[in-house]
Amino acid sequence: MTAFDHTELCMGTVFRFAGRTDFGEVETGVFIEQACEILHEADRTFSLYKPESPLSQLSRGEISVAQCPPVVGEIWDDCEAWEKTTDGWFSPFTPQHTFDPSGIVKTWAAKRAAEHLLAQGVTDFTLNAGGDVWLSDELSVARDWRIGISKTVSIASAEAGILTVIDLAGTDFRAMATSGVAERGEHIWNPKAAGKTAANELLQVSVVARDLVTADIWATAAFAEGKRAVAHLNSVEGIEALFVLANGDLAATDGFAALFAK
Amino acid sequence: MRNFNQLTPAAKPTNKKWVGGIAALSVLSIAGGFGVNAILNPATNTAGVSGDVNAPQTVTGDLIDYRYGSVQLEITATAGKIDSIKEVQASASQGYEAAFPLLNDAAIAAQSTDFANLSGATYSSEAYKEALVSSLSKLK
Repeated sequence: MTAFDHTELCMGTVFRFAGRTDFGEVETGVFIEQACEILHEADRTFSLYKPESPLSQLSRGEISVAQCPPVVGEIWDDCEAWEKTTDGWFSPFTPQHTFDPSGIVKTWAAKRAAEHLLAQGVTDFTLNAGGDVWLSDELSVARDWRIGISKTVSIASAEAGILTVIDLAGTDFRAMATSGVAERGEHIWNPKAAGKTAANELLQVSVVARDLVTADIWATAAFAEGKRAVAHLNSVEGIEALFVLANGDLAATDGFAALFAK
Repeated sequence: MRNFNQLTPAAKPTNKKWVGGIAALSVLSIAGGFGVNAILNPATNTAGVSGDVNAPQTVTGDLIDYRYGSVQLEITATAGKIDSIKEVQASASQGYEAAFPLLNDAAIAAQSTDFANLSGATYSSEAYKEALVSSLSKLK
């Protein structure tokens, strides 16, 4: 058995693949390298920090979606579908009216990277995409089913620590995503407000779902929606959420309390 | 829908246990250090740095202000798992004293804070590296 714990820097954050497999070290290393290449390829296509990326060119109006790699159109369609699903609370269109799918690309790419490993037969691992966590179905270690939720301060600050711990063993949930102000300040816009200023009624939202992208989108959408997202997300099937309100109080959907680690 | 801790002084008693909940959560950060080490400093790396990771460690936290008062806890942990939590001192505004035993219960109930992954707002690779360095230095 090969135990692996690989950290990859990509998209300005850190991706971590950790688990166990019956493949040898060399083979496992190759699979992980291929998975990481999926992340880097997505970064090369979608990064708005790279002036030469297709998305940067699209954003500057130099090319059309049709001239971009097909995957850009795919993401565009996904974003539009999510905009409908979230009643408009997730939107890839910035206050400046440009297309910025950054809110979906990280977990979208992570999901594909994880699927690549699964397809190779690596089935017992977790993937942490810069704070958004995905679990495979066949985790053999109890600890891997448990996810700590960060406090609402940066992991680099002296006050860093955990807010609580949840345990997804025995549930249908395989993913948790957290949105908040702790690391990059206010970076989520409110698609519905004049000037698209976010409500700032929440410090952090953590969402569990079966799927990583679903968790990520709802966390972003809830953050933009503010306090009313507690009731909104409570009405959505297949997700549960924990909210930290602006004054530090907690709120949660009905089913979340059952997820606290015991 | 359940709104934890949205309490006014005339709070509903049925909600009161969650006062303990939030206090416990904020205080858990003291214990959180162990868990954060676990993720930021994977087990494969700890042995060389921390000496005997299985020896019980006792940590007295800072006096922490929280919404309804202040609290200082002493936590004993073995290999990152909390053995006991003791209140060194605690105060609460009137009507909230009852929260403290619950606070301890909640903290101990969540004592399996040993976890493999940390979920949080997307951190930069720089923040990740800093966190790694600081958790390593805490272990020394």
